[in-house]
Amino acid sequence: MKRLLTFIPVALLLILSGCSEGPSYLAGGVMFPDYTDITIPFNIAPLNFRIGEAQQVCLTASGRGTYNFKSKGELLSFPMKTWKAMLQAEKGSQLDIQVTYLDAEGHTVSMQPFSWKISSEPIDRYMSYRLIEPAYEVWNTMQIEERDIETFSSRFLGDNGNAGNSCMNCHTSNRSGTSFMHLRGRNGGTLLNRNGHLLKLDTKTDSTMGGAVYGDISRDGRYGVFAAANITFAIHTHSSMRMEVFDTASDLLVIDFDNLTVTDSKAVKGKEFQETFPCFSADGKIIFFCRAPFCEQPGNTMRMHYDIAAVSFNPETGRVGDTIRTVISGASHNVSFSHPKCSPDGRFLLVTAAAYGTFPVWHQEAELWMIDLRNGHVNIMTGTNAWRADTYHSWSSNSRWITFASKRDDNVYGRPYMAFVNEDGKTGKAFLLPQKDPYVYYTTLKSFNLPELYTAKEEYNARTVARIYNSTQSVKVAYKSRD
Amino acid sequence: MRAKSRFWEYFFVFIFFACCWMWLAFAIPSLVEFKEHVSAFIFGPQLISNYISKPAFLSVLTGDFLTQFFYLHKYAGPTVMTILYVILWLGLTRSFILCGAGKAACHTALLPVAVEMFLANYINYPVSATVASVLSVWTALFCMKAGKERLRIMLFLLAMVVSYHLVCGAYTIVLLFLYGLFYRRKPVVVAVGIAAVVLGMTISGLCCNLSLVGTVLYPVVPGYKLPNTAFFLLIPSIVLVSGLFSLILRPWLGILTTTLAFFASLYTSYDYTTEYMVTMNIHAGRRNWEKVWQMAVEAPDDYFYGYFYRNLCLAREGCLPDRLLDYQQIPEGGMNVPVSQGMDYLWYFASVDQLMEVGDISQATGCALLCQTIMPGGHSTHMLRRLAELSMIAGDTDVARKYLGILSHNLVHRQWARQMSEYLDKGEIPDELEHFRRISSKTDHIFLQSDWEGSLLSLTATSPDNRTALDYLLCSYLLAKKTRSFVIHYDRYYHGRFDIDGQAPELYQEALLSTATNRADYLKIVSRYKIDSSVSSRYDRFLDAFSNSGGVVSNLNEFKGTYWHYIVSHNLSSLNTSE
Repeated sequence: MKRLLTFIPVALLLILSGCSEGPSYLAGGVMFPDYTDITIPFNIAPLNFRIGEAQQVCLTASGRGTYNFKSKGELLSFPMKTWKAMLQAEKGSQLDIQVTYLDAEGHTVSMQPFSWKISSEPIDRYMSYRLIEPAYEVWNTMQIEERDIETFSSRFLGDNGNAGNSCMNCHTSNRSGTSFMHLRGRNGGTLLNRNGHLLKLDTKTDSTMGGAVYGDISRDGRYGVFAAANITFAIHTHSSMRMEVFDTASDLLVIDFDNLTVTDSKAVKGKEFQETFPCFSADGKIIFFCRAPFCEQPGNTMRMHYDIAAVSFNPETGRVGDTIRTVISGASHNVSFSHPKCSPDGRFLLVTAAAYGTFPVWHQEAELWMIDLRNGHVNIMTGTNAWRADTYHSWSSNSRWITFASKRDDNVYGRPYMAFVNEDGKTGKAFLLPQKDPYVYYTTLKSFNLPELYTAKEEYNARTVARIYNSTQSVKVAYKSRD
Repeated sequence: MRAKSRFWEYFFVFIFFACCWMWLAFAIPSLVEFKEHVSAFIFGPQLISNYISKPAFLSVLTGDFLTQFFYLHKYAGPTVMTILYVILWLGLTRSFILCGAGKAACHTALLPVAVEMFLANYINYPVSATVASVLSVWTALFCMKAGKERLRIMLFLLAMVVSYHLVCGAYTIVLLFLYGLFYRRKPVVVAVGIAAVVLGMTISGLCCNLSLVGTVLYPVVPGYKLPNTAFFLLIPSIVLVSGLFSLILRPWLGILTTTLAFFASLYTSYDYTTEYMVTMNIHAGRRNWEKVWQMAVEAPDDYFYGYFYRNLCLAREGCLPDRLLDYQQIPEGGMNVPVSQGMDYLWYFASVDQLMEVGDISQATGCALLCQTIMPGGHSTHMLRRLAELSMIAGDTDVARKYLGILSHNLVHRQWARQMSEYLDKGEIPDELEHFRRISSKTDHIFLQSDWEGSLLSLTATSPDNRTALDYLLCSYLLAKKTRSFVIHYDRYYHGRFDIDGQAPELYQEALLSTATNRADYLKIVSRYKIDSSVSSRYDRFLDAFSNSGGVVSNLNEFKGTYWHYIVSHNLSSLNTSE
């Protein structure tokens, strides 16, 4: 009996003995993530990194002071307190970094020195993203996670495991207390959060094309502007392109969250043009969106070039204007634009430019472009973009940081990158959201999708979302004719 | 006398476990092995944190760890599972005896094992669930054996609060039932135990964001190839029943009950179709095409999975049109599987194999990702290997390295991962993958998912060497009786390219002849496509026989294996069919 009782601890020991790190995911001497020569906010969590096959890693940071860090093994993990103190002390200055490591053969190797500029501009403390398998349109488990960028803590805002295994998407915040996310499935709806008060909206009306999809919230939180679209999936024959998503029809609609009404305008609906990805300008008086003439698809998908267009909006009356203005033409730049996002200071419009179509996430060539709204100058952000898809961007509330999902590392799994934006709209080298152990990016089979920055922690969690999802009650928005 | 009866009692137990092992090893070996294919145990720094963040972490961790060895040898899975059953039985027997059971304990303790055998016949019943029952029972036994009464109760209550996170919901109920049996004369103590279980499950379920059903059933994922998730609750129920039986039954009744339960379990749960399908998947996964072919040709008539792989094997050998109608065929389903949500996931495995063979690497990758996504645990070593290969074929070396990196942390797949990584380091890919790269689409256009015609047309148009895709396209048209499409694409891609040195396969000649609407047309076809005289004279005879057949297919048996016979046997009303 006693001998048998020892079986369980022996089995456990056997298992735990296998829990060593195993072979490195990185080639010898490779630093992951690449944190060389970057500008970082003073309130970022420690930039823990690994050096492939290193037995020991030492880092010396020299700025106003000198700081030494050392690790056993390939992971250099910075102590939180020391890291915070270092960034606070070096705010606004530059740290010169020297990394040396002991390689697999026991030789000491010095890396090329690099620098970290410590910006005194903070990045918004919270980031939400969706964790989803990049299996095209199908998901199994899906979570919307809220990450505290200043630490490594995170929690689920939504988990489809307790919400009917339904799709959850587009967690979008106006950075001042109002946010929404869409819940699909049997009890689905648009979950509106206004300062912690949650409401499930049914945004479908007989007078609009369908329910709300991609959208944005005005700064005061009163209005939401959305695209309503018939979304279809297709496959590329060329293996590296993988998937294409297109709209067979799409319109814009505006929801008044105070009065729970939905309205539209002839200018942004109808079959002649397809409108999608709307966003408000910083003052809420303009709606930017993507627009292209209607084409039959998928036959013409590769010829679809969306422009960035603008239409006026009256925040007092909730009326969408009649005149469409093209901000930048996609066809004239031989690209198709998507996801316009206006900087909170109102000066820049950050967009994604891809070769064609309206779903750049699987387009390797997709990159971020910064449009200066004062003079129309376009910055193609060569220092920030990579040769693989950079999409789904979001601004920090002080307009000095952006985050986006990038497939630069492996072309399939999106990872959240961040970059500094200076007052002139010039952007720095992007860096990966730090993790306690960056290997999480190698071991996960999920994409970090739709990263969104905001300052205040959401006042709900996955259980609240599940409760609301599982309740059959939802508030139906009423159609209100513009005229 | 007593020793003799004891011998027979234990002999029965021995026979019982020998039967268990033989059943697992010979009746459902592939089903057991396939449990490894639909899971992935990855060592590494995140291992413990990944598991600990979910309920039942200890049983899932141990179960997944043991499952990986199922890949190594066909007897590894049955042996591991039988050992687990023996440990479960030992724990239950001892527990029942401590609860006051008599001699029947050692036999009634086999009842839960019989139910485990019943559940083992389902792919998605994880080994971790069996581990969970073992851990629950032994935890109960450990608590029962604690010295003092107060300590015993304390240990039990503590175990019931924490066991949900360590073991899982349903098996916490096992613990509760054993506790209830042990303290059956102390209702207050039992009530406190129930409260402890509810508390433990509620706290852990809330922390892990699980629904009520998910909380009780975890790690079994509701809705996945386990026909009724409530089956999972059989184990705790049967533990209670067998515990009660052990208190009241005589040994011979225990033997009888167990024997009946064992055979009833196997009879009700055994499904040869699933065993056949997973065996096929395993062989195809290991690229053991000879075995696949052998199984495919021996498939019963209603096994479409067999048709599918048989046609795939023929295409691999380059003799799809030559031998297609040597075997039973169906108008749809034997050539292409429209990949869609809600499809039985075993078809995803088959579809990935077929899409790779025809060179549709893009859709094969999508299908493999999709398949991996819908796995109960969200990962599969089988699909990770396929994804690594597909990424290598597509030249996506970075993501190939990611998959290989993950597999290199698995004990049984790491050697393969290392070999593939060496190819990548040298900037090469294995020859068999090079073939797929050669036949894959060179240009890009968009088609709707599951549009096999669009996919094959694109491959045919852009890769002139891709004879497999062309034969698949033409044969698919023929089986679907789309003769007009067949002729158009035969003319465009086959005629003058592949029939230049001789005649086309007889199937194609027969199909071409069948499109003739009158004598002049017939002669034109014979001359244009150089139809063999034996084929044309056979067609003449067929037409005579057809007109005299009186609509009875059996009168046309001498033409079995011809395209004309295929058409009439599937639709007598029109010989000259078109889409």
